[in-house]
Amino acid sequence: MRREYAKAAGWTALIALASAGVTYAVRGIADLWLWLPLGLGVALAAVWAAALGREAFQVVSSRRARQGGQSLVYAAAVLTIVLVLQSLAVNSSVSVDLTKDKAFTLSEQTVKTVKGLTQKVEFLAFYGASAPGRPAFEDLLKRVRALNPARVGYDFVDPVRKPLEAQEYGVREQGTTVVVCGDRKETLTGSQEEDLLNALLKVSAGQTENVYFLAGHQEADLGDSSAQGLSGLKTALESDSFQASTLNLATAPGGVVPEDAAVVVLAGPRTDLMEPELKALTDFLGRGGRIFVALDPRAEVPRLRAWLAKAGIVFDNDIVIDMNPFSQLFGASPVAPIVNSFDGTNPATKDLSQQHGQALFPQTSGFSEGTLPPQAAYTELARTLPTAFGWTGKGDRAPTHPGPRDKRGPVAVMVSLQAPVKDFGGAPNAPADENARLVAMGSSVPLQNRAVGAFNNQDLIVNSLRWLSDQDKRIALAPKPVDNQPLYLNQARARLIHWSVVLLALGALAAGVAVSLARRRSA
Amino acid sequence: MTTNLYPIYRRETRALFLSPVAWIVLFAFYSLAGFFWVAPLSQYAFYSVMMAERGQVMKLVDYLIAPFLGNVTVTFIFLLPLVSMRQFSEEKKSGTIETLFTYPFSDLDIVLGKWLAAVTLLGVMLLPLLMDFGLIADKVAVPWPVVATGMAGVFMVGACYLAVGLFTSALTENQVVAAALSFGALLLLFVLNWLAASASGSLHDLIGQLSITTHMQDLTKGLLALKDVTYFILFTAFMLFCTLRVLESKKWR
Repeated sequence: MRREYAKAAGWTALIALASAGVTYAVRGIADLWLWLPLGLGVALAAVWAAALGREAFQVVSSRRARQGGQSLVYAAAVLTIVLVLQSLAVNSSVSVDLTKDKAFTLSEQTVKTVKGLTQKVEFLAFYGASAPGRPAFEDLLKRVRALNPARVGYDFVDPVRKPLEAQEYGVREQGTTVVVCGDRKETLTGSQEEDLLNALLKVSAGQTENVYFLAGHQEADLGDSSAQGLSGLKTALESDSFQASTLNLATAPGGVVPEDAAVVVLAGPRTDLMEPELKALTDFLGRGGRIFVALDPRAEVPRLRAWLAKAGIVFDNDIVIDMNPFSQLFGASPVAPIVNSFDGTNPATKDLSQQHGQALFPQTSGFSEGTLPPQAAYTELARTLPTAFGWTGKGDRAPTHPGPRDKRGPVAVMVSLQAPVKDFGGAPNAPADENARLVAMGSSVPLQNRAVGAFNNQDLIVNSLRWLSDQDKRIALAPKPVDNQPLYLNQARARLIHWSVVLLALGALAAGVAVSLARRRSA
Repeated sequence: MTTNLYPIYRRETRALFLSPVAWIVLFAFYSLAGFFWVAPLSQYAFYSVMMAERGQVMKLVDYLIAPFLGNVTVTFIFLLPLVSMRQFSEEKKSGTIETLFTYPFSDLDIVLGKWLAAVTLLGVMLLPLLMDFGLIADKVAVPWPVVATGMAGVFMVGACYLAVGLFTSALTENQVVAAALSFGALLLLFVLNWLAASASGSLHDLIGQLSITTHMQDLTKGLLALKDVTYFILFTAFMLFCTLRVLESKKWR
């Protein structure tokens, strides 16, 4: 009987020790739930050993046990060698890319950038387990990390399973990646090498571009956190790669735009600029400067309007109305049209065009193309829906239909201009790629706190400032050429393929039947 | 070391091809592989032309070759245990394994001979698939290097699966149990990739590296990586080693 109890104690010890191991493997915490079965297991094992000590010793020291033990040790040693060899192979990254378009080969620029990283960069990819594009993106991240494992890390986070983490990083949809380097972060929605490199350059470069907001003409204020202020935009810019500050040309040293200015923003001036100020802006453009102008429809700024018209940008004397009921369902109003048509070529709006983004333009005027300098490129960056029209009438009561003098939609509400610096009084022998750039918006409201967070307004403004400050030039990778591979199958060939497959299978079946018959006959 | 490998290999190959199971497996494999080829091929032909007319691109590797080869490896999970299940189990049950041990063959000869015979059947399964690519080669530029790496990958996956099957067959004298054990193990290796997708950090990397699917994917897309090739070779070698240990245990059990 005593022997039976001892045996039961032995089995219970085994179960207790196993459950302790499983508990620790699953929970990873050494608390009472680990110590309890562990202690019980050890105690019962001691009981078993004490009761059946001699027998246990005989079992353990038997030839069978010794051979079994040796075999296990042998297998463990071989497994260790296998794992070591495989980890060496995994870390070697030796591979041959046999694809025609070198789909698995990173560009020289990516290799150079990643190997030259001085700070740790972490990619947080918000993709679910079965999100489309995840395997390809993970493969890309693996290859990037393999270049500099000490400086590059990545992790995939399922935004559905970990919504708080997604919220912490401001991620709203699957397929978004946040690149973190120190206290800087960059969000990318693309999954191509070009997108990844671009984000990497932005977070790792650490440089900021100075954006000056013109002051002194009752413009919206950077520090103002009211609905009409620009504090929201300032925060957005500073979390990107910009440093935002104000500039009063009347009090600035020399009355000129500072040398370190990347972009000057005119955020809805209500009083006109003086001639010396306009000259300072012209000189700035002549030096290859960049200007962002947001002007409200009824603003009495004739000198500024004339100055812009001379450059080729004409603000129409109208207010854009859109009676589209669907727009109003999405929170727009007749005088706050929704914009969903963006230029697909300009880097400022390319992403929004591809992603079918939308922006809200309250109280905006339209634009017309003026007389452009000879080599200037004028682009309508954003247009309203076709149902909108530019109302040229006066009064507070907007019509529901366009009048005969009103411009029919779609109406351009945001335009850009790029021209050689010599067109703005710059050096005539300046390099051909030294350009001045202007972006004009028919309303300053999208910049203000009340509208900057609406739809994709913030993206539109920040991307425009990136383009103005040349940050788009960081995107230097040409897409890899991909062969178009249409397959023209005629009926005869399709039939041949079908029959070849069927005959192959039937041939195997026939051979099987023949083998069976032959075996039966020989038996 | 393995001077007597050939007689074993010849005996096993003959036994394999004279059993109806091999031909039923071939029939099932060609039927499934044919379906996995013809249906997506028709779709590819339709959509690739439509996309080309719109100026968009569909890549043969991404939309046809890699998915096809991936599907072929899925059929292996169900079919290859049927090939390997009988190799040791049947001999154990009928008692011929004892006779085999009395011949002047080493355990390694026996294990390698049986495995190579099964691998030969695998070769017979895969070789006609090249005809599928050949039949479209004059209609579209077939990327033969990618096809070659993909087929090599599929072959290595099959060889791994057969090594697992051989091991489970050595564990038991019941063929059904051997096939079930093998099927379970292969399924586990296959779904490891899904587990890796839901894990994160180093656990994700570890599980991903253990998964056969992870190592197969790049090969079907034209990337011949050392880590993938070594994975298949080491995995197969380790399973054959385990089979050897099981056989050897007969001597002291």
